[in-house]
Amino acid sequence: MQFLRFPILVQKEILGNLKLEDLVVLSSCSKRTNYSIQATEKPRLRKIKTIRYGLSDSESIDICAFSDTFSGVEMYIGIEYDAWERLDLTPMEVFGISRVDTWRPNTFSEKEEFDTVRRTFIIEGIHNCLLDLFGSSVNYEIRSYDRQLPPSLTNIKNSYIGSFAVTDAEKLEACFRNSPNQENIVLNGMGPLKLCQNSVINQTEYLMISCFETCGDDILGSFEGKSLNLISVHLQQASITKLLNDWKSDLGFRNLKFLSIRHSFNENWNIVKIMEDSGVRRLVDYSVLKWKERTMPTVLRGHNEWKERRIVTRKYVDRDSDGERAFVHISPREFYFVVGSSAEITNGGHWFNW
Amino acid sequence: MTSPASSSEVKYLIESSEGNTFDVSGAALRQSNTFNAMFLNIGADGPIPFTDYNEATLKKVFEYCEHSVNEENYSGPKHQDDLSKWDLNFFNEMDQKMFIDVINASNFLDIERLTSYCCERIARMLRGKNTQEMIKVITLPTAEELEAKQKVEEKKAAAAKKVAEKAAETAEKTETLEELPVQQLVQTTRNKLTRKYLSFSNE
Repeated sequence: MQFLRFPILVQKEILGNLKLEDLVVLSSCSKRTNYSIQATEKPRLRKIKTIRYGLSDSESIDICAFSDTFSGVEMYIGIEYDAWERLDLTPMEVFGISRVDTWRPNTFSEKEEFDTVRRTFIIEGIHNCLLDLFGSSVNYEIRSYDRQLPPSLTNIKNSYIGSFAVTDAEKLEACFRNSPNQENIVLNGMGPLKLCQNSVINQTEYLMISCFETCGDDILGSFEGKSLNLISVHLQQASITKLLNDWKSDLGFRNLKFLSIRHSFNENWNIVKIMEDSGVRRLVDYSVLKWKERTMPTVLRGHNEWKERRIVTRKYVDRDSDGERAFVHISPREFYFVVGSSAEITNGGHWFNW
Repeated sequence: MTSPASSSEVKYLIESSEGNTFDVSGAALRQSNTFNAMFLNIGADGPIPFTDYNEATLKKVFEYCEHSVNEENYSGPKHQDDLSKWDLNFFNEMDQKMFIDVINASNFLDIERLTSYCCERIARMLRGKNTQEMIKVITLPTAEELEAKQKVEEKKAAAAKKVAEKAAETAEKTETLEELPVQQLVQTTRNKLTRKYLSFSNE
């Protein structure tokens, strides 16, 4: 039957009876089916706020879509690796043939290497189809828990790359080539991590790096975004002093609003030295600073993208050019830097004994 | 042919595309919102023409309406599994062409229940299918068909362009005519000024 010859009301009624998973496959059949779906199912498509690509060691691709109104998964499509090897198939054919509409636990494969070029080709094809259907305003996210780095896709806003393999700086840079200005990047457990000089990752608004034995000095020195969270990194105390002095004199870190560092080096920082060298002062009363830190949303957390952070401190530095105040908290292994105008500040009184 | 009485025994004459007429009960016909909007209050003088659809299709549609006259009020589409044996037989005995004609007629007549069941049935054909299977179900136009269609569209566009060009030419001529008095006015003013200048210089 020629579906597209049906009156638009009939097309609408038919499409209304289909699940999102079926609409995605149908949209890939032709441009006109795509237009028909976009025209008749606009409210349903607009509800989708996030599309997440999950790449794991099971060599499958899991695609989930989430909305603001429903806490569960609005659409789930799993693509099995077996179908990728069929080189005669286009990405959407692979998508159609191998899709599984119900979530199943990952079956970890023992395969060490697989065809990443083919996987990239498949994911790019599927991503382009989803972009055509849902548009570019959707929050496209990559979460990779793989020994291989994820492919570089366009219009990605959030990336989570978790891998225990040692990662080459150039290869890591290539992952972000097509979506250079992402909102949120989390790089987790990738061994000693090094970023390229002038890396696009430095421009990320919210960046979190949690990689044991990574040298944090270069990462901190080149960061141009709003919020940086470094966990389990090595960081010289001179880098903290430089950060504070540069910020005070308006020589850098103009965009930086929140910084937290958890140091993993054997040697503790010398708090007094840092305070002396960077002119950190103390208020009489303590201040409680609250701010929102970006996190990777999960179903369990109700897709909440934000987590509340809080410090209590009375140490601060003021910027010479405009008098902007930043609060700092320094301990032998932890350092926090919060720009006052970007946080909620309440008076903590003078009885705190920190 | 009949007065718009509310009794279910009242019969209406329906005319198909072949020009044939047949009876349908008022109760069955009232399931069509299109009929309700067009004829229920004003009545029909003579056969009601539904001449876009053939007799077989219309008979099939009204067969469904006659059957569902005594059913409870419609409350949204039922799942195919919940359909009665009669409903299933009704759908199964249609070939694809008839099925499509029934959907189109049902949509035109705005018979909500039948349209919904038909659409649900098509959706069921598409559910869980892969790309190739879906393409088969919805019979997308082939490359040749698309090419032929493009040629027709190109011809239409060329014809439309010609018409537009002609219209523009005509408009241009009209504009020239309209501009004449203005040009004349400019010339007259220029002559007057020249004369004035000459008289001034003579003085």
